[in-house]
Amino acid sequence: MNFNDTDEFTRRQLLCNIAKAALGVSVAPMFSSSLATAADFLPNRPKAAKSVIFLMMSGGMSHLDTLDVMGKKESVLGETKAIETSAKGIMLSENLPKTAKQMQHICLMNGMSTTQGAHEQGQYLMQRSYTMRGTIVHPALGSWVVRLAGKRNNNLPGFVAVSTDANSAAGGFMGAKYSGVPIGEPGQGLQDSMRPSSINEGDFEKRLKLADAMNKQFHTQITNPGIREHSSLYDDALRLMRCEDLKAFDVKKEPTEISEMYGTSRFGQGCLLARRLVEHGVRFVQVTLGGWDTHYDNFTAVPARAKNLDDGLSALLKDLHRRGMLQDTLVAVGTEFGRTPEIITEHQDGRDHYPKAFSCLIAGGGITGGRFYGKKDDKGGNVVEGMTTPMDFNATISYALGLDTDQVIMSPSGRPFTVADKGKPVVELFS
Amino acid sequence: MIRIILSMKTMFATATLVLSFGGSLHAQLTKKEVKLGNDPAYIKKTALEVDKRMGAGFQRAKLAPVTPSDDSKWLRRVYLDSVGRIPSYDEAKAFLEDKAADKREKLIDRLLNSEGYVSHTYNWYADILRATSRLGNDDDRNGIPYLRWLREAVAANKPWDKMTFELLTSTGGGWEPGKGAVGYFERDRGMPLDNMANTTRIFLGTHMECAQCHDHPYDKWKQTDFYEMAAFTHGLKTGSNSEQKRYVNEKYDGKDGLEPDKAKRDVYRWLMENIYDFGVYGDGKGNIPLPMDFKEKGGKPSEVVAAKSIFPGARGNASRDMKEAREKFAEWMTSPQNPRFTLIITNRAWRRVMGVGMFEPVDKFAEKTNDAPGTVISNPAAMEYLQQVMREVNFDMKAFQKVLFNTRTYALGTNTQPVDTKMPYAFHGRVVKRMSAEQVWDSMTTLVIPDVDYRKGNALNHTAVVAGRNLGKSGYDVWKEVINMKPAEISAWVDNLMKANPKGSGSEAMMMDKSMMASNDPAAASQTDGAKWNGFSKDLLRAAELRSPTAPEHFLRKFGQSSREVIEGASSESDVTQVLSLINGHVEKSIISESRAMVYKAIDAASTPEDKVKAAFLAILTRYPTPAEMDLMLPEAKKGRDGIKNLIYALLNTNEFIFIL
Repeated sequence: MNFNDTDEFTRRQLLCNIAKAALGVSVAPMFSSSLATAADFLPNRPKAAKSVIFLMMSGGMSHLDTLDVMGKKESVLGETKAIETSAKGIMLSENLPKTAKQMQHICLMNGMSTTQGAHEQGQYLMQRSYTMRGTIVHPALGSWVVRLAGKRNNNLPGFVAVSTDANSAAGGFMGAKYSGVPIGEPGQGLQDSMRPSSINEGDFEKRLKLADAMNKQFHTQITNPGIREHSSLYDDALRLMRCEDLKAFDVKKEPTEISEMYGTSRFGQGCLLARRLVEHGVRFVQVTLGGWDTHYDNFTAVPARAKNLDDGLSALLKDLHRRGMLQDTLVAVGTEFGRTPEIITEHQDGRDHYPKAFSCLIAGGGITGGRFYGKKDDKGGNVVEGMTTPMDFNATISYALGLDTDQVIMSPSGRPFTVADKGKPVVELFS
Repeated sequence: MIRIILSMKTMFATATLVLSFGGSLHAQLTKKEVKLGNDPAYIKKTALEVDKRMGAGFQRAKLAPVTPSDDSKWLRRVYLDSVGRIPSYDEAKAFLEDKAADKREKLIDRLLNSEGYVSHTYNWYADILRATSRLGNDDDRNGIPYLRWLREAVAANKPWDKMTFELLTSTGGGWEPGKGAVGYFERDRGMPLDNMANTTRIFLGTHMECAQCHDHPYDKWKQTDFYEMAAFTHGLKTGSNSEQKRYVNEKYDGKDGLEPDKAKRDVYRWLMENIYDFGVYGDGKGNIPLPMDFKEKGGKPSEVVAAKSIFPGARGNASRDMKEAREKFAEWMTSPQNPRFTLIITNRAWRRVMGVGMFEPVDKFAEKTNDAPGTVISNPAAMEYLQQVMREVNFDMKAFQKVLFNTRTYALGTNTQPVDTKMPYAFHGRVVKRMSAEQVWDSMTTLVIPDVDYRKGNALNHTAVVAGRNLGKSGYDVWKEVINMKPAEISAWVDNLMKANPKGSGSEAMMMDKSMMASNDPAAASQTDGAKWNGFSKDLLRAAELRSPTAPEHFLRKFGQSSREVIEGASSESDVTQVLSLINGHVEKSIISESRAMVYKAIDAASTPEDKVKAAFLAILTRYPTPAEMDLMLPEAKKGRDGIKNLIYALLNTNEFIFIL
């Protein structure tokens, strides 16, 4: 920790305390959007990444039509063609032309393999590193990261889940406190974070002042940590409402050319929101893109999905790089499983679920780009080198953040768990 | 039932627990239970004995009981604990003005027999049993039959041992009328071991999930103990094994008989997932192979072990399958001599009424071992008596709670000091707790909707929407139509469906908002939207009338409604998104902005500003204001409607509103 960071942190705390003293009901000071960097420093890796943007391709992204086309037989690629990328010797599918130009930042994870062939179970394993059980809910990766690394900015949530099913972003046994704060439509921002137009500012303050007067009296009668905690959350909520950082949630503040670069799709705008959030110190943002379950008509459905991914991902990498944030921000693209090399003609050229071999990618966050890790055979059906499980993938993300992957957190029922179960980080990705 | 009890008598001949009455009395009580719950003398006598034993506990701990609650505080508490919401203005006023000496007893009787009790209790069981509107993914295996079974069990006050027996022995089709309890196994389809771990936790307060994979590190359970328990349900089939099922399966997923038309295949898939492959059939085997990677003592990998209950009673055989394995398991489970069954439900019910368990967590009772102290019961003498009461009333949950509500212990004042609920608590004063998500929601809804307990929703009604085609009838109807069809008839049924119902005629979500049509559906008649509710938002219903659980972004989920993924997954922890919805969301948008809200009605009926303040306090906080509070709020009441809005908003945002005292 350097002294500048400490100063920054203290100044921020001071401002928050002023807000507390005033109970946020008078004219609260506007907070600057500088970050509380004290928690950024993590012991295990000196140049650890600070934030993660996890792009989840839900439905099972067909690896042969997206990330893994290199050296594959035409019979398994079907209509999909390979194209050159910005990294020498690395090919991508023609469905990802813009991403191909950012390949210098990317490491393809072509040795992915999972044990789960159904969507819910597969996504669960990918996002939580444990198999789905009826007796416990394991925390999402974002919950783990916030639990182990802490928040970067105390005014904002540590984990935000954009267009993501809330169950996938649940804090599980860690509780609601660690769940991803849900954003349905990226353009709509954080729910209930604005004073409703039906209350004018004067009445709003009046109302809170009246409640506060009642509460002060109440607190003299009862000493209870739960009540105190609940009461102090009013300060947090008001601070959040009045905080400059809240604008992080407003993608409309972006210049048109940036916004257009990400694409107008919900996913593209979600990627843009993710960048803004990370910029303001959110630790972990997940953005989900669904629709990859291409049992039918794979060669029409995949290009349509891939366009959204391509626009969002390429813009994100370009933008983060331009702002000098890519070194500190790990971008991951995950999915629950791959799809069959076999093209099923009776399903209008579809592809079925294929857990045995699939592909993900990692970019930024201190990894060496322009490469791949792991390899499948020429049919894309078997991993022949660098087998990587979802647990390994999540351990690698954790490693990038400098987290201790062996740190045990006990569930309230007294069972021990770690961030990536027994996953091993792929350390050779890091320079 | 009698047959069961007799067999239990022999089974437990060696049980050490001696009861104050014999096993045969248990059978007679089936009739007597009704009398006990409704017998004021019994309730009074029993409540007194509970108080005596609790009082002895305070004395031993040298703790003075807190001065009893006044009528207002007791009233608010008893409403929240029994019917899950605050009293309405009219209800509060009527009680406080009632001069009768026995008004508390009378109110308890009335509340426990009200529709509000059914709502509140249904939420409680749904959280324990993880009962959801969806048992499978997306649109397969609907949870409505399971929820209805639960709802009906609560409404009929089905005793807990009977509910347990029905759940554990449930057999039949998912949509077969009266068989909704099969949802208990369908809930954990494909995970029979997890289901057994849940069973021991729910009914026996015993955590065995560690022992699924290895000997329990902190309790006495071995991995073999777990497998011996799992043997009772091992081999149980979810989904039937019928000719129809094979036919339908081939149609949508087969090689030879595959239906060429994709739209039709979707219909076959729906039939498979919602009718032919939905349900519980057959019995457990009563034996089970140990896992291939078994490493602990007491067995070898893949060795077949016989079913054996963790407390003496039921056994299977390793070399041949057991007859009526589940029935014997359920008999053992629900026997009054099972040392854990009564203990756990007694403690759960105690916690539900008294706020804190005699031990916590309620589903994790551990015996003393050489390495661990085991669970400490805070007042063993009282707990022993309470278990006796639970047996006397024959697991009649309403009667049992009635005893507790009538105790003086329940009526004690609030303990104003912090209490660590993980430590044994003497109950010398009520422990402060935040309302559950359902209590917050239902209380707020009470402030808006007239006769809130009786406003019904559609969550338990069903309209089958098959691959985008609205059939205008329920799963029950479809089940009856197709369950016994021959393959050729099924094919004709599908063809006819395609013709009669164009695609896009409805999504299931859309249909939830529409009233049911003529139907065989047993609950279709319950659809009501009386004139008094016209114009109010359709979303303002009690939590028990909404989907179980509600959507993740719903107010209820924000405030900690269980996702129903794990047993008792609800949380009453506060967080900042809750406060945002209190200050910027629900309170303003659904209550203050609803000009016809009941809370305005109460305030508008008062003529002076002073009386308006009083009415607001009574409606929202169930008490009248202190002089200082009157001074604080009076200027608002004098300002007219805008001031009244400020007043309501402020009271709803007090800590006093959301914490139960």
